[in-house]
Amino acid sequence: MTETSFHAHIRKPASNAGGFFGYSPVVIVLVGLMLCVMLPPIIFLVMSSLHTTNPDGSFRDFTFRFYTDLVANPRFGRNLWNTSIYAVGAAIVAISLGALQAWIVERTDTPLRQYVFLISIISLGIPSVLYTAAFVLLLGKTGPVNQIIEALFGIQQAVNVYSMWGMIIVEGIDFAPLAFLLLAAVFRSMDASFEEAATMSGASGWQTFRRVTFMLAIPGVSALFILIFIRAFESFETPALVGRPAGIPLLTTDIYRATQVDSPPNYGQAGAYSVALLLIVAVLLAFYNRLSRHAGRFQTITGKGYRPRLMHLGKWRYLASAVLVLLFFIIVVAPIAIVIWASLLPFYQPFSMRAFGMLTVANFRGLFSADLLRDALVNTMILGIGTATVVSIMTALFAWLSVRRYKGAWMLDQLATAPLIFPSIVLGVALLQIFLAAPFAIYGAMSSLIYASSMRYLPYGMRYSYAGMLQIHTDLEEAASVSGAGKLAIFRRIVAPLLAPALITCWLYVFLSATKAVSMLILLAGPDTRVVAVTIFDLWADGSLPKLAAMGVTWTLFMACISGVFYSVARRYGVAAR
Amino acid sequence: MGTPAMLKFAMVLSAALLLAPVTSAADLTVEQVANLKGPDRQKILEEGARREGELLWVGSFNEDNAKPLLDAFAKRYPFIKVNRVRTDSTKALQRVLAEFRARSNKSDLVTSSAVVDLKKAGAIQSFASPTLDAYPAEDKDPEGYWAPFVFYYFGLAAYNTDQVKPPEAPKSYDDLLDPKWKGHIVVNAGSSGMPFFISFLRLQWGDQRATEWLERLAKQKVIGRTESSRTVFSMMVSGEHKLMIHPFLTHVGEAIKKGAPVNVAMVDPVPYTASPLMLAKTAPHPHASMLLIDFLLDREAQTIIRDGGYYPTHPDVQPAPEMAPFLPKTHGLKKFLVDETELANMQPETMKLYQRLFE
Repeated sequence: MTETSFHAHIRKPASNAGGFFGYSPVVIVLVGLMLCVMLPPIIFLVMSSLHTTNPDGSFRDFTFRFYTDLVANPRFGRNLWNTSIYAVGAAIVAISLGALQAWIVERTDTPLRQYVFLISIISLGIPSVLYTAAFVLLLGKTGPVNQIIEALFGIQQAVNVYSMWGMIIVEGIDFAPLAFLLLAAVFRSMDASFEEAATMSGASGWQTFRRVTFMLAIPGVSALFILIFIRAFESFETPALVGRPAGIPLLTTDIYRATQVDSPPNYGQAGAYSVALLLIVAVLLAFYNRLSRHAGRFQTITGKGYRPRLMHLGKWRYLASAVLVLLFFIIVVAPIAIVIWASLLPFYQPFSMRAFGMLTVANFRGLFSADLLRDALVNTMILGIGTATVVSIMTALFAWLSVRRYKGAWMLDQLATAPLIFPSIVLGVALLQIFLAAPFAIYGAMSSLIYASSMRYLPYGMRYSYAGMLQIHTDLEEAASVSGAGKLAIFRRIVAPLLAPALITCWLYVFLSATKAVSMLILLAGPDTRVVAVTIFDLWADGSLPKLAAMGVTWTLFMACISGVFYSVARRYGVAAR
Repeated sequence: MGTPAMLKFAMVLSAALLLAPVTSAADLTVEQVANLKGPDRQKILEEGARREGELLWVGSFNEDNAKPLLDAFAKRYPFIKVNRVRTDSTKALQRVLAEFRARSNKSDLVTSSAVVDLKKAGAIQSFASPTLDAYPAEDKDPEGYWAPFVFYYFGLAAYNTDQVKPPEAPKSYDDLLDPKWKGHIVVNAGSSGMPFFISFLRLQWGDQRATEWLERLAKQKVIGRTESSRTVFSMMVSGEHKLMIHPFLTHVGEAIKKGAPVNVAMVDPVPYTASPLMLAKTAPHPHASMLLIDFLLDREAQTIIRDGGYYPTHPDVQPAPEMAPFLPKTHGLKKFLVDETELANMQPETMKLYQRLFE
C-alpha cells in the first residue's frame, strides 16, 4: 500500500469547516484563549531577557547583554555539547526502557504484565526530589550497588554516579514511566494485522518488532523523544544534583547560578537562555510537524475491529517476565527501599551492622499534624484533580483539531507545547507578576495554582492525546458526519470514547505530576493554599534526609492507594492490560 | 538619612506619639507603628493587633521549629492568627518584591538572608523593638532594618571520623591543601556555602592572599554539591566524602548528639551570621507583626529556639549543652560577623572567583 493511496481517502475537514476564511470558529476561540494564557508569560520572558533590572526587580535599561553573555561564555560550546549528549542519552534510556515495557505489556502474553501499569503510576507518585536523591544514594560511593560489587568482586567504587553516565541513567529512569505510559497507548491501539502479515511472510519476532511494530510507533516515539530531549535540555535537577559534583558543566549550570545562587536572582540571563531554547524547540516542533504530516500512514484504529492480538512468546515469555521484574526492581523497589532505609535512621548512613542497631521510627512521629492533613491534603487533591481535568479536556480538543488538520489548529499544538521551554522558576516569576497585576483577586488562590500547573503540564498532556489521536482513522468520524452528526456530537460521541484510554492515562499522569510539582508552587501558593509538595520541599530545603524520607514514604504509600483506585477504574475502560 | 528627613521623621513620630492615645491606631502608618516608643506602645500595638486579627510571615524557618514558637505566641496573644508561607530566602525575596512592585502587599514579617536586596528596593521598614535593647551593638543593625533571630556559626572543616582519624584531621587552612585530600573535599555550592566562604576569606585576609589560597584549594578538585548545606553535610557523614569545608556548627552538634561519626575543626576567627527578621514596608498588619517581632526576640522565644537545636541570639539565653562544644567562646576563639551588607557588596567579585575556580 503506498502513501498516496492512504492519503487519497483522508478528506480534509478544513474544506468543509466553514467559519471565517476557512477557520473553524472553535479553532479561532481556542487559539484566542491560548494566546491570552500563553502570551503574557512569553512577553514577560522576552522582556526580562532584554532588560537590566532595578533593585525592586522592575525593568530598567534595554540590553542585548544577556544574549551576548550566553554566547560569549568561553565554555558555551563545551556546555552545549555536554547538554546535548546528556539530553539525547536520557531520551534514549527512557524510551528504551519504556518501549521495552510497553511492548511486552501490550503486545505479548507475558505473565505478570498486567501489573506494569500500576507500578508505573506508583513510581510517578514518588516525590521527584526524593526519587533523584534515592538514585544518588543507591549509586553513590558508599551506596549498596558499590557495596555489593565490592563484596562480590573486590572492586572498590566500581560505579561512579557523578559522571555523564550517572546523569543520563538517573534522568532516563526518571522519564521511563512517562515513556511507558505514552508508548503503551501507542502499542495498544496499533493494527495487529501488519504484524500478522509480517509473521506470515516469515519474519522473525525481532524482525517484526523492528520493521513493523517499531515503524508504526515512530510518530509516537519521535514526539516522545522530542519531549524528553527538551525537558532534559532545560532540566536543573539532575544537572545540579549529579552533574555539579561530577564537575560536568551544562548550559543550565549558569542558569542555576543566575537564579539560585546570585542574589538578587538574575532573570535576564535565565530569560535569554529560555528564549534561545524557545527557538530550538520551535525548530524541533516544526520538524516534528513535518513528520506527523504523513500521519495517515500510522492510523490504525479504523472502522474495522482494531483490538490487536497478542503475540505468543512461548517459553520466551518467562524471560520477558524476568525483564519486567528486573525493571520493576530498578524503577520502584530499589529507590523506595533506600528511601525506607533512610527514613528509619537518625542520620543517613550506608548499610552496616552499626546502622542496623540504630533503626528507629522517630522520623515518622508528628509528620502529619492535624492542620497539614486537613488543609494541605485537601488542597493537593483539588490541585491535582483540577489540573488533570483541565489538561485532559483541552488537549483532547487540541489534539483532535490539529491531527485532523483544521486550518490554524497547528497553532494549538505549538501553543500547548510552548510551556515546555520555561524553566519552572522563570515561569513561576512570570506568573507571580501576572497574578499580582490581575484586576481580580487571583494571587495565592487555588485557581491560580491550577492555572499555573495546567500550563506546566499541557505539553505532556498534549503528547498523550496527540499520540492517541494520531491512530484514530477518519472513517468513523466521516461515517458519523455523513449520518448527520454535528462537530460537537462527533467529538463527544466518537472521538472522546475512542480517545478515552489515552485520556485516562493523560489524566493520571498529570494528576500524579501536579501533586508533586514544587518549585513553581512555592512561589505562588498562599497561606490558605498550602499543598503537600511544599511541605516536602520544606523538608528538602531544611536538609533533614531521614525526615524527608519518612514523609516521602508516607506520601508514596498514600499516592499508591489512590493510584490503585484509579487503576481499577482505568481497567474498566481498557486502559491497562487485560 | 539626611537631616531634613530625620527632622521630618522625628516630627511625624512625635506627632504620632501625641495623637496616638486620642486617635484610632488605624491612622498610624507602618513606619509609625514600627517605631512606636513609650509606655503606651504595648497597649497601642495590642489594640491595633486585635483589629488586624492576623499577619502573614513569609520566608524560611522550618515548620518543626516554628510550631512551638507560634503556639507560645498564640498563648500570649490568642487574638492574632499567624499565617505562614514557607519559602527559601530567594523565593521570599521574589515574592515580597513582586508584591511591592504591584503595590499589592500581603506579606508582613519576612525572614530571608536577602536583607540588602530588600533594603535597596525599599521593600522593608526599619523598626525599633524594645527587646533589642538587651542585645549587644555588634549583633544588630544600627539602622534597624533587621533583627538577629538565630545565629549560625561555621567551622573550618567537618570530617568523617570513620575515614579520617583525629591525628590526620586538618587543623588549619593550610592543612586543607595537603594532596591527600584531593577529590575528597565537598562544599555546599549554594550561597551560604562556597560563595560565603570566599567572601569571608577576602574580608579576613584581603583579596590577594585569599585568591592565592583559593587557587591552591581549587587544585584539590573540591566537589560542589547543590543540595542544602545540611544534606551536603549528611552526605559527608554517610561516607561519600571525607571532609566538608565551611559546615554549619549546628549541623555538627546535632549529628554528634545522634551518634554520627563526625567531628569538626574550628579556627580563629569563627565566621558567623544572623538569620534576620524584617518587616515589609507596606505590611498590612504592622501592629500584629511588631508584637510577633518583640516576641521572637525575647527570652521565652529564644529559649524555644535554643531547645530546637539552634544558637539563640538573646545574650541571656545560653546555647544547649550539646551545642556548647561548638561555640567559639568555649575554645577561646574570636567570632567574626559576616555582615549581609558586606556580603552583598562583595558578591560580584566573589562570584567571579567562584566561577573561575570552583565551577
